[in-house]
Amino acid sequence: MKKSIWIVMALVLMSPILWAAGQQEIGNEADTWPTKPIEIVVPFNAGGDTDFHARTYAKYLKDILGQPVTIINVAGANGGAGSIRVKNAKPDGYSALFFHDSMLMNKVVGVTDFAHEALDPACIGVHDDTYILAVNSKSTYMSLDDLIQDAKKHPGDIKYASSIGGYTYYVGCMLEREANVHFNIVDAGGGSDRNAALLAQKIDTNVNPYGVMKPFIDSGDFRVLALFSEKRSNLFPTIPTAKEQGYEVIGSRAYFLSFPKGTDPKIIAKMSSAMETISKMPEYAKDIELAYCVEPGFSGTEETLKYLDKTMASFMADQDFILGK
Amino acid sequence: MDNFIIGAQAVLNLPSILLIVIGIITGIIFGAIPGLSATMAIALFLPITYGLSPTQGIVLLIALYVGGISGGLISAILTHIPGTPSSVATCFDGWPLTQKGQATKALGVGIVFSFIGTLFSTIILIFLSPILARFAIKFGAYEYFALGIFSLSMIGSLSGKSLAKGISSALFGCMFATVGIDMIGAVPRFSFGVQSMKMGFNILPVMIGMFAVAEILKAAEESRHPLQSETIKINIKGIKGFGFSWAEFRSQWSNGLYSSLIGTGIGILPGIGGGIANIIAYSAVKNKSKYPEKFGSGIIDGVVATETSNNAAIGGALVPLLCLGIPGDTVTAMLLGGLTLHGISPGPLMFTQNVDIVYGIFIALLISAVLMLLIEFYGLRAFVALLKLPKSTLLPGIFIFCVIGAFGVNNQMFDVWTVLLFGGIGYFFNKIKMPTAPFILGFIIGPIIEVNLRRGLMFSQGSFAPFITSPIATVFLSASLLSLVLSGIKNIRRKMDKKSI
Repeated sequence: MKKSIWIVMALVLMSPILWAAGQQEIGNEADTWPTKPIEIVVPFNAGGDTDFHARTYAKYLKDILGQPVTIINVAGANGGAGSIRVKNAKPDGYSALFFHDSMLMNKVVGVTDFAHEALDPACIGVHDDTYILAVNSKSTYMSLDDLIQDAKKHPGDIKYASSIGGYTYYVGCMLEREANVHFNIVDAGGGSDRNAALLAQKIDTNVNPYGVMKPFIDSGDFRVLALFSEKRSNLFPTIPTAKEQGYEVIGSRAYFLSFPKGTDPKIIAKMSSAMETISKMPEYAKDIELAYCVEPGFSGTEETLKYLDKTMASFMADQDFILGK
Repeated sequence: MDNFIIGAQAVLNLPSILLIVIGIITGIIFGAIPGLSATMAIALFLPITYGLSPTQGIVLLIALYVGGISGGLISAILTHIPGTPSSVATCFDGWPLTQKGQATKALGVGIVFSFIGTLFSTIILIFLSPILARFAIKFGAYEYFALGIFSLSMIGSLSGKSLAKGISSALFGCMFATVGIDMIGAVPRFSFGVQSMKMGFNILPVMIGMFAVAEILKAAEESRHPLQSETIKINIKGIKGFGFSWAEFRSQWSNGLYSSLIGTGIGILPGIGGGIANIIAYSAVKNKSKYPEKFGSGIIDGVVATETSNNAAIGGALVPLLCLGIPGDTVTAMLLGGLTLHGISPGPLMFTQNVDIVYGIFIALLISAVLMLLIEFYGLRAFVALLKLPKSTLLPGIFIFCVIGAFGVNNQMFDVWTVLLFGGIGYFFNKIKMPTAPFILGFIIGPIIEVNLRRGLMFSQGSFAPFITSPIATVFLSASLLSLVLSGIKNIRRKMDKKSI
């Protein structure tokens, strides 16, 4: 009796292996792609922004491609672990990586020794252009200029929160350079930790995408001084850009999909056009607005490569800056 | 009261109740199997909740959370292998009770006090969360640093006979925690140029190795000595209810309350993480006890402390999650993801804008607590029957799950190697009689101390003064000093007593 239970259990445990082995034998011709489920690696834990954007695409991709798209979370080394896994995967179009600008930043700070050039990027699924600078509403800063003038009077005193090597750190450095001021850049943890720190006035400013701070903006606890984008957002049009206030700092994060190097261009084109279709769907726009206050923004393969190369070049030019030298 | 009716309307329907039942049962199974954990159960079910309504989704995750944290006690008590990191300290007294033939009593106590812990923290969550959340944000780098030091001062009561071995074990834990990309400057440390080493060691595989694999290795070694009988006597016959008497329950009342407070308190502070509530509550109850020397020999006080506190940490962890949108650990981070996905952002307005969700969670917690009690009560006799399985069948089965569980953490082989490495280290520790609990404490608390020290120094621009002048930090630092001095005095007295005998 007991033995048979263990045999059944062993068989159940072995079944995924058999299933995976069976799948290997089917051909990988680009014309018929996809003929089996596609695995998209998200290099962070489930529940974050990257995971959300990947899953939202996966939800709609299934109907367009006719095959399920599964999300696999491979966290570790600030996204480096998942990137390595896809870089080393077979370029058959069945594994891909969904990551953002941090992939490039990881190379700049030395977490990994490669960036997008080691893979075949397909397209940018969404641009998050909603980086804002907020202060506690009890503070006296009413505009970005108030903050900058105070920083000029008290150099090195204003606590600007970010993690070193993170994107918000880079935004802070750009603002320091543009306004010719000097902040005290402190580490206060991730997005939600920084919300708590700003609420308790342990830090003076907080830069993050709008969606991360939205609950506190809605409740009146935070005051937004500037949006780091070319133009105002349609979703929160009352917030002025830093550019209008005379400080030209632009921040953005692009979430892009890439395949292992050597993947058939036909597969890449097919995936890219499927994602483009989704990015134009109204239900997709509603999903991302509700969760992160972001508007759809898609870029095709060529544009994506241009964007990534340009971003990499600007990161590299500022390497010393980013490393805090 | 109206809010409760709204919450009840959202949760008290057949699909939601069914989801809670599924969640509790799955959670208990995941919690009970070493290698699989509450975290993993939630990670597996998270994608499923995307297709459900927001309330149904969160209700399912809450049930998994409650079941998963409680389920860990089963294997901790019956096999000396904690089912989840939250039950590490349950082994200390749960296993000796099993060896004495009192497995049913240990399980019964664990189940009832898991229920009490969940209930206590849920009540706190319902009535005090906005106030407590405002208090929790007062904790910044200086305060977390002091709290970390205070937690480390608990090593004394976890060290067994030799304080020196306890301290070394904790220091080893701190050391291994430094491997990987450092959390402030993103500098890879001790990676020896190996890419996967940059990820560092994840707590789950480390714990699986230290406790499960090491225990399996030990059993394998002992099986070569047929004299050491491996069957354990169990008396199920004649045992009524939960296997313990009313008098025993009453004697544990104050321990239960004390551990509930500690568990809830640790849960509320997002910088600490609920996983170590059980270790800290165990040490605290032991220090407070009139008979600390009996801890570890199989008394229910130890089981009460750990099982009350780990479930109490659930309600505590939901305070910053719902009021401020701050997750304290991976589990709450996934709960946050589950809410965000449905366009719900926890924060100051959560209690006014999402009444159905918030009160739905409260009611789901209460229902989950009751269901957990019932399901585990009826399962109690079946769990004990597990002991009848020969170790040669049970332990290899557990080993398979350990490897699968480790792989499941991040879908990576590196975590499997981690399990094996720490299995070896744990086995070696057992050989030289070095306690493993301080290692885990050091592994978790070490990074908290380091990160907050460095953050604090960035805030103060290099000055150490605020670490002492912050009132909360002062309280914790003086408490650690006091605890060190007291344990020193105790140690000297014990030695003097021995000499006089």
